[in-house]
Amino acid sequence: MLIFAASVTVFVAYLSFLVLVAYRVERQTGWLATLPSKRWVYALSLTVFFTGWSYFSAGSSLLDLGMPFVAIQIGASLTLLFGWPILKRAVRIAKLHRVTTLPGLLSVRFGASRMLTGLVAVLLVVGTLPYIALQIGALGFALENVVTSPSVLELQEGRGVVLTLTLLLALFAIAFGVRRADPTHRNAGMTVTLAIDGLVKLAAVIAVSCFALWKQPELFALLSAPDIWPHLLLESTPRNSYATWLGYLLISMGAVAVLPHMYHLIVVESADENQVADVRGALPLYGWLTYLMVILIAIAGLARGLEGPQNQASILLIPMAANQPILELLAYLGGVAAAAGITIAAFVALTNLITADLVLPVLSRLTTRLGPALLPLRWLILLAVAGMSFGVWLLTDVTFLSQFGLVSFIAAAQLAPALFLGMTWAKLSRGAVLWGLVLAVPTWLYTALLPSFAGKSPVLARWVADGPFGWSLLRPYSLFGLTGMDPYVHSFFWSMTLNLMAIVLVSLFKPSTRAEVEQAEALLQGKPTYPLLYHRFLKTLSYPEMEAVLVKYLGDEQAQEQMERIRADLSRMDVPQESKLLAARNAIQRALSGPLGPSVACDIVQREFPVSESAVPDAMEAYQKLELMLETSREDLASRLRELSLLNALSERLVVARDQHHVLETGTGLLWDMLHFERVGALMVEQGQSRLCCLKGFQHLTEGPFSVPEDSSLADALRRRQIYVVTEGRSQDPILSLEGARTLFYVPIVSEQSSVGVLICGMTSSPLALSPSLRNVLQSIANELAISLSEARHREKEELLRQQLETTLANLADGVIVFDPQRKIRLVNPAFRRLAFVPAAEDLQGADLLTIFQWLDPKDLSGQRLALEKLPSIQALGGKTAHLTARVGGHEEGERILSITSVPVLDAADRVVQVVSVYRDITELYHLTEDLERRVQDRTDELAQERDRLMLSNQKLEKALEDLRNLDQLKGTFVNAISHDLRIPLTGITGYAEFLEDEIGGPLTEQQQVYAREIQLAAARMTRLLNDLLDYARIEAGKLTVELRTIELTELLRGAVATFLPAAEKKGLRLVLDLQPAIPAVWADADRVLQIVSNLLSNAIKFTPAGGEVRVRALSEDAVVATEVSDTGPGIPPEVLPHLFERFFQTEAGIKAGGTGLGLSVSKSLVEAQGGTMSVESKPGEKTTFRFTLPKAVSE
Amino acid sequence: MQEPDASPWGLMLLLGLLLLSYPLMALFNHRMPIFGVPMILLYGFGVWLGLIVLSLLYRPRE
Repeated sequence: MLIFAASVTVFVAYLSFLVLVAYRVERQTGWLATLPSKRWVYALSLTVFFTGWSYFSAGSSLLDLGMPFVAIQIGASLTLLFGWPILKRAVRIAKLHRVTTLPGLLSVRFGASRMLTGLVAVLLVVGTLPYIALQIGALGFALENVVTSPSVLELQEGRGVVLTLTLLLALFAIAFGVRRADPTHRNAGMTVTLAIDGLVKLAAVIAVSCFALWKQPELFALLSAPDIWPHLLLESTPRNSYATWLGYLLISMGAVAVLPHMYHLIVVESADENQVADVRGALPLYGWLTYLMVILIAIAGLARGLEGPQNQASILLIPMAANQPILELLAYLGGVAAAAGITIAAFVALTNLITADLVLPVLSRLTTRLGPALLPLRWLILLAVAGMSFGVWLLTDVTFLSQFGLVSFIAAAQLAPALFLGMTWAKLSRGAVLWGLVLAVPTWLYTALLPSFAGKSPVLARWVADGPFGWSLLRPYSLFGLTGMDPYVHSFFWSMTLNLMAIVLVSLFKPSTRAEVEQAEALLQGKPTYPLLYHRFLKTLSYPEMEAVLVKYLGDEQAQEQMERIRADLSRMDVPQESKLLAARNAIQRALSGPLGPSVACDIVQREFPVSESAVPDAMEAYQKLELMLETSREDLASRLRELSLLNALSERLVVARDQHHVLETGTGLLWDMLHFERVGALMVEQGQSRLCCLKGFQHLTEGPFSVPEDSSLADALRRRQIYVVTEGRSQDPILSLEGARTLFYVPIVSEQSSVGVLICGMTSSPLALSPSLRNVLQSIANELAISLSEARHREKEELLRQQLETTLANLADGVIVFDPQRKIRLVNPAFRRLAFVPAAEDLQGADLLTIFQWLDPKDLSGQRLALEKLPSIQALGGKTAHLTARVGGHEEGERILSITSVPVLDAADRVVQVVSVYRDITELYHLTEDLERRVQDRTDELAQERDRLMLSNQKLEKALEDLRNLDQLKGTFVNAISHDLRIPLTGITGYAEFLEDEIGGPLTEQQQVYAREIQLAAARMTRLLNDLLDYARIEAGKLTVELRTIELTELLRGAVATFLPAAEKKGLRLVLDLQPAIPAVWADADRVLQIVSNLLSNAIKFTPAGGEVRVRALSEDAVVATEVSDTGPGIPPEVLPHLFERFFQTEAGIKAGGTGLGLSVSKSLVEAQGGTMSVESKPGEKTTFRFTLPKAVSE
Repeated sequence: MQEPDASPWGLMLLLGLLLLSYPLMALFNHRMPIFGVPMILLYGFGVWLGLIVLSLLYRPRE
């Protein structure tokens, strides 16, 4: 059994341990420094809800009240488990506005109201002080039950000890909960120690219950024994009813987050609002487990005869009775931890609340120099709270105080509607909340707090029993005759009913103004809020002015800290100047709210930045402008946001679009998915050809080539590069009418100043107007698609080029190697590897160029090894093209002769960025060239010999030719001379023969006449022969001359026919002249033509047998006139025809007729000398026709 | 700032209140033991634990 001093020592030692831990946590030394960031530490700190008095009295209360007592823990659990979204919002707003108390939060939510703030603060202080006193009582209770004499605490020393312990706790709270003037800072050391308290009391409860179960395994059976726990079931006693159960549930639900110490832990000590969600299950699980253990301990105490007040100490007395000092110490420590934790947390929370919401609002009106005094003031207030709590305990007793647990809960629960409805319902007004509290607080005072003191005053006791002045309807425990209820539930019922009723009625009959609702909505949605301008008008603020105000109220250090934050916040804002002023003003108020509370901060801001009444109209105007501007801006921003979202979605989708079709498909997909067009598609224009693609929703259009009608809107959209809208009934559009659409938009996709396509989108169910916003969106989409299409085209081209290059290089017989100025190889093709003897496994990518020379081993053509700098690849690095033919290899793979050309690739600054070397295998060519050169040389020698021989032969030929010419000339001269010389005697012979025939020399006999004629005929033949010979000679000598002039061929032919008619008739032939009408004149020599015709007629008559026919025809043919002389003679054999016009050629018939063989040859030469042609056709036995042409005369 | 949708949590709170109110509570308001524990006690603590588990396991759809 522990003695009293030892108990105090243990308490002090435990507190010292907590101090040490808290100190190290605050100093951030050792592993303890990491604890505040742990979620489980924060979660355990919330277990202060399981208070010192709960630790001791839960068991007895359970046995006394039954299940409704469990409802207190379950109610708290329900709020934390399912109300966390609202608490999270409250934490966010509180942290944003730097408020640390519930009145402060309500002030932010409902506008600064001194009455509301003060009323809430008073309610919480009055409701909580007895609750803290009860926890101090729990400390005394623990000491009382572990000492030998139960009456020790009735001694003055005992009270002094409790006072000392209370002061120690207060000092701890000052050291680790109120260290700074600004209460918004988290107290990491305090949080960790509260978590340790939670662990210790949990360990104690588990240890004692397990011990009890171990000692008494039948405990479970006792649970259902009516004599052990008679009030277990609901409705087993008047208090133990369903109404009580539900009432306790609701009281606890409302109070858990509103009690000052719980609010402080949830709001101030949390890292951020998310922690509320993270730890929502911790306290409920803790409560579930501890209450389960507490039931076992209470039953075990009952089984040991611990009933009534004694059962409250079961957790201490069970190990004490079993003589288990360690377990007893642990149980004692658990109680101490539970009481210490709640006391410390409540001291800090109440200090913040009283400072910010009660004291400073008054002090700030008395003095402006609050900054330096803030911290000492808070310490004083904390000590005052501790003193008042101790005083309340001292003046009362534990039994009296034990009823205050639920009284405090009911008081706190009155604020739950303001908190939970205020955080969710923007229309809840300050008036509604205020009226609710105005009705609820007095009701609570009258029905809960006042009756609690009945035991201390006979007057009050009578009042409670009979009602004031005997009015039974006003009895506090049965107000308006409502009886049979648990007194706490009764009080809660009336106070909460009036509270909610007032809220509903005021909300209905005096609703919030639109501005108040908008401000509340902005606050709840996390948007920046501004004070309502009709309350005040801002003058221009400067940083020095702001800083001066902060220094005045907060002191230098805090002012500097807050100014830095304000500067940073304002510099990040991109809003109109009016908004910035409001934001600056808000920033000052927030900076002051932390240490001074929102109410005081609001007062200070109003005082420091006063407003003249005359400025109000201007303020209203400015506000209206601002409101209008913000509204417009909001719409613009929303529209822009939608547009950006669309474009963002489009960009994200286009990232994976690899080709043009995919790009268009993505664009049309977006129109379909996100803009919900009912018809979408695209017209793609490429190389003058249009094709429809990516169609969705269209019923008649099909993808593929599409001819755009010239006079259509689609064509206009393409031509003019602007959006076209076609609507039903107003436009004659082929697609619109084909598809039966109500509206179609043609949005051109313009790239590089030309339309590359058109987006088609439309509606069929309803018409759609092209608003500016929609136009912007469609235009932006088209622009984005144009860029992507352009990129896709380039990609496709690049890909094609790359494939072409790769294929070319891979199939190139020449080796190609590319390297950079650092001689790092960037590219080689397979041919290079083969030509350079590089092993297939060798990875050349990125290798140094010099590595390839180990395989190349280059030499010049004479076999001398080449120096490195001689190689074209190295020389090209200097910026010039280099070429070399070299022998490479030479080892077992053989030797090659390569033609190496290296070309540098230069940038704009003529710097070498790459070198391309081409290696061509010319081994075979080289050997072939060598062989060819040798053969050429041999052939050249042979030709030289041949040339010499030919030159000799040529000389001989030239000489022979000269001889021949001389001979020919001689022959001509001879023929001329002979002909001339022969013509003269012939002329004489002819003349004298004519004389004889004419009988000039005397009459001749008939025989003589015949002889004379024969002489004439022979002379004539001789003359013709000579003429032919002369002509032949002239032709051969090139001296034949013709005198061309216009002649009438018909006349000439008539004369010729007339001349030969007698000879023909004589031979019995028919000579016919067959002339076409209008035979034109010809350009010819009349004598020569007559000579030709005579020759032909002579031959024809000569070779045509009697009875035959000789026909002369003249035909006009194009530019010539043809003359034909045909006969019905025996014809000319075909084999003879080709030689007929050769000189001295004669047929057998010709030879018999005594011809010279020159006539036809001369005739042909004469025809050709006049520009005509001559030919012959013959069918042996039928007909022979000679034909010659002469050019028509040109009419002058 | 994305705030959670409070409506499913509100519905779960109502469910909890329903389970812990008359008349459902009356169905289990018996001392009859199950595994040695009175039914009303088992029900009260069971629902309590069930609600804790529900809150911890429930993941709203994003």
